[in-house]
Amino acid sequence: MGFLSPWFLGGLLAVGLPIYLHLLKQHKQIPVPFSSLMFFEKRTQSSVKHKRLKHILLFVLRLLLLILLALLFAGPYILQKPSSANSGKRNVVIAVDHSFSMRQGAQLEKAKREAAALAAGIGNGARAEVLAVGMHSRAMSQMISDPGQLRASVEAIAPSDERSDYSELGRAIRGIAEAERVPLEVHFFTDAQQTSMPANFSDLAMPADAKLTVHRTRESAKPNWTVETVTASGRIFDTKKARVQATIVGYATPAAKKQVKLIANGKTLDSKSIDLAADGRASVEFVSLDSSYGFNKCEIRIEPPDEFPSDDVFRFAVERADPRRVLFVHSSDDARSPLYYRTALEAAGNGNFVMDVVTAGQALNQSPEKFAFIVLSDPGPLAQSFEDSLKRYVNAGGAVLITLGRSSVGSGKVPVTGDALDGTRIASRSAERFYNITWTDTTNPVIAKTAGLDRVKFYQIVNVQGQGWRHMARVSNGNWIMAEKQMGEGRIMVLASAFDNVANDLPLHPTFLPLVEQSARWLARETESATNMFVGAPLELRTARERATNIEILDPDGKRVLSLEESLKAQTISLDREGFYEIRRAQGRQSMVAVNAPRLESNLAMVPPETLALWENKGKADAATGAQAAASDFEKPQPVTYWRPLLALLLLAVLAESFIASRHLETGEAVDDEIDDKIHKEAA
Amino acid sequence: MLERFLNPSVLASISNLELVAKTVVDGFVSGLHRSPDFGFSQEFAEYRAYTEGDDLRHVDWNVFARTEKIVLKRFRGETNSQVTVILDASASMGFSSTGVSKIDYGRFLTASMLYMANLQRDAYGVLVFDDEIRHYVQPSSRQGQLHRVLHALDKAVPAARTDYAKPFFHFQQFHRRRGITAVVSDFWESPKKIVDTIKPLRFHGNDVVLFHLLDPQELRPKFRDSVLLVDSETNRTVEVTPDYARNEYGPKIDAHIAELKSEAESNGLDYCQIMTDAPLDAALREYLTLRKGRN
Repeated sequence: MGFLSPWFLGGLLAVGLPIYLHLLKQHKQIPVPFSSLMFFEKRTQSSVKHKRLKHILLFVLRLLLLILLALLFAGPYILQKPSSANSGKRNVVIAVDHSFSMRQGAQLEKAKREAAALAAGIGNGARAEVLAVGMHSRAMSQMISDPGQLRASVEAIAPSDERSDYSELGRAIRGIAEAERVPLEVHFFTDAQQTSMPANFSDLAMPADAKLTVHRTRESAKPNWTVETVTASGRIFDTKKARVQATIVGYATPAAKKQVKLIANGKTLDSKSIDLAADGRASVEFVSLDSSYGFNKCEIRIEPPDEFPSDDVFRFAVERADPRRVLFVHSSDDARSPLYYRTALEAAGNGNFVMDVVTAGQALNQSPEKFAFIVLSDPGPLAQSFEDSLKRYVNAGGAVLITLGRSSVGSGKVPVTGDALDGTRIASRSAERFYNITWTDTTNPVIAKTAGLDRVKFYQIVNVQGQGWRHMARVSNGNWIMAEKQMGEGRIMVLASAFDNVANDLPLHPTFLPLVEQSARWLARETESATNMFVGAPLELRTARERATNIEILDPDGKRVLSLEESLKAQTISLDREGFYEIRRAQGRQSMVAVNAPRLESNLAMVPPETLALWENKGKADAATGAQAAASDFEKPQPVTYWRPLLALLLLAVLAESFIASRHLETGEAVDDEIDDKIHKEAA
Repeated sequence: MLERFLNPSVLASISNLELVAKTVVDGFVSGLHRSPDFGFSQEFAEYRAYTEGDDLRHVDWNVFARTEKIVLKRFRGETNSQVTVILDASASMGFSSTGVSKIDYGRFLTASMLYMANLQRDAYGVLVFDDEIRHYVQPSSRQGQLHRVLHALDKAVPAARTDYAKPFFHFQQFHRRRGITAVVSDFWESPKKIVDTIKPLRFHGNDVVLFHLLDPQELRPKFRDSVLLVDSETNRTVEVTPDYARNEYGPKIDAHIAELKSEAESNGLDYCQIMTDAPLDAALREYLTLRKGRN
């Protein structure tokens, strides 16, 4: 027996209090004058005896109460061997790999049959638990001994589109061992795919006394061709300019001739024949995508199908739409900025955008809602009504790119946001001839794909004051040159210089093109609309700064994926089935994403037998070497605390003490009252 | 309303003993009927025609001289008693648990009885004693007697021990005339000894009544815890437990009272037990009963 917090035993000193009060405290008697002691006899009682007789029960209860309180805080425990009820019997874990690769050659059915046969043999008090192992481990049953329920749990394992990760099995077994605290017998039914092995072998570690047996459902690797990737624009405007690139890969395959088809909405649009070398890789490009307006469910398919036809298809979604319009507002005396920007946008935008150029005065008649985003290129003072409509547009989810130059300085504020401008800095007036960008936020999606900004020379920059700006780039004097801000549901990006090739030489640098392209994509929110992704990959629904707006996702069957709460709060979601998903965002924005099984699952190369043996033997070796340690870990006496019964006893002691103390008081008063009544009656 | 003034705790708030006596007696008497008996006294009642055999001493010669009719002058009944109250003023009489000590109660009672005697034109006196005779006012019906006895009562302070033998012996030496003698005491002594000491008074034709004053706490003491009691006369101390007070003391004091009453009655003494929280009328009623018996 021991104590978890023995220093609390010091509280036992408190028992001295009742001892002092009940036993040691002097029974002080104040002499009381009385008329005559003629009939009183000496009945002297020692204080100790007197108190003992009178308060013995109360005293004992109070002592008990303090002792229990001290013990409760000290946390007494008794070392006990684990219950032998379960330790002496078999405890089996039946794990079945249900990853995407198990669809090949009905491997999953085979694994389930074998697992069910094993489950049927569970008996004689043995217990078993069923796990389905994929990207995560799912418990299909509790640790039970009913073979019927175990078989039903095995049968309930459905094929998934996930990749498998054997480290998840190790983690699950360690969890079960910790919970059950008994030796485990683990049977794992899998196709033993090499790609399921974790990078670090130690992640596979089983508990010391878990005995692992891997049941391979396939004896050798099978040749398999698959569509590894497809590159296509998520939004096309001209079907004749649409390009679709696909990469076909063969794993453990001989040289072969394959037919690759481009299919849109079930209709084969094009077909190409490719020659694949042994274990080879080849690319196919389709130069047109004759699709209809709206979302198109497209796929690349390899024919003829191989032994694993599930991965011969790669899905991708394409939206056909008209080019999106961009409003470019500039000051009337600046003709060069629209020229530079239009050229860059048309060159880099792949025809996605059409630019309307107006001066600040003409912008009054424009309705911002019609545009994908708006560029305010050093516009100078704007008409109040136009600025108000811009604010409404941004708050509702629109986007504005603002460049600041000499015209803006005159107005003294940043258009739309209203942040104050604190003059300009002209490099030639200081010791430097120009400013360079010395720091960039590489996590920003615009900056991340824009290289070479540090070569741009900025001669004039505008100082912006105000809060809430997220800096994207800073120049050598410490001022920020690019920043973005969330305003309502919309986005605002500011370049504290102009596009006129006077304040800087940015338009002449090659980096101007990717900057315009990436900023346009970001402002138009095209970066959000991934057209295809893999099962298990996270899909970003909203940023943390975006307020709760309802987002709906419909799965390939047309059912809602998100609960009501998730649709308002979830920032990311992991889609776990192949197929096309519709995403409906706020402001009527819609997108479609195609989800494919992870291509790692297409490589059916198997884990070398010696590696599997090493994995199996690791558990066995551990079990052998730690026969003491094993027996050890679980048969080693474990501390069992007894705070619950102590707490119950404490409560009982408190109740008893309260009852007896109150009863004692009541008795004294009752006797006194009785005597009073009697005296009055006799006197009367 | 008047009963309120018979309450000892109310009377205790009145400092003037005469006023106390008046209050008690007037309040008490107002509830009684006047006696129909006639006798020899100074209070004229009526005239009656002479009949043969009437005592000629009661003929009103003034009426005869004027009317030549022989009529007798009748007066209200009058006894010719001598009332003496013997008040115990020992230290034990100073005990109080109700706000009114026994000595105070005894003073009220004594003053009330003597005030009534004064109204009856009786001769009355008082003797205050403890182990000696502290004050003695000889019985008399002279004017100013009431003030003398009240003054003696006022000066009665509880002190010293009780000794019945010595004071009573001396009292018997010069108390010859028959009358009523009331002994007001707590009688903390052997009943036999008390009665033996007092009963010689009876031999002189006295009617003797014992007023046994007791405090409620003396009859049924109640203690929550053990207490150390100090005898007010001897200063002896005894540690007493509540159990003893509850279970053993009661029968003993009851037996003492019963024995005292029995001894007194068997020796022709009247006995009256009075609690200090009880109104004074019980004691006065006892006195009047005795007084009536004398008539």
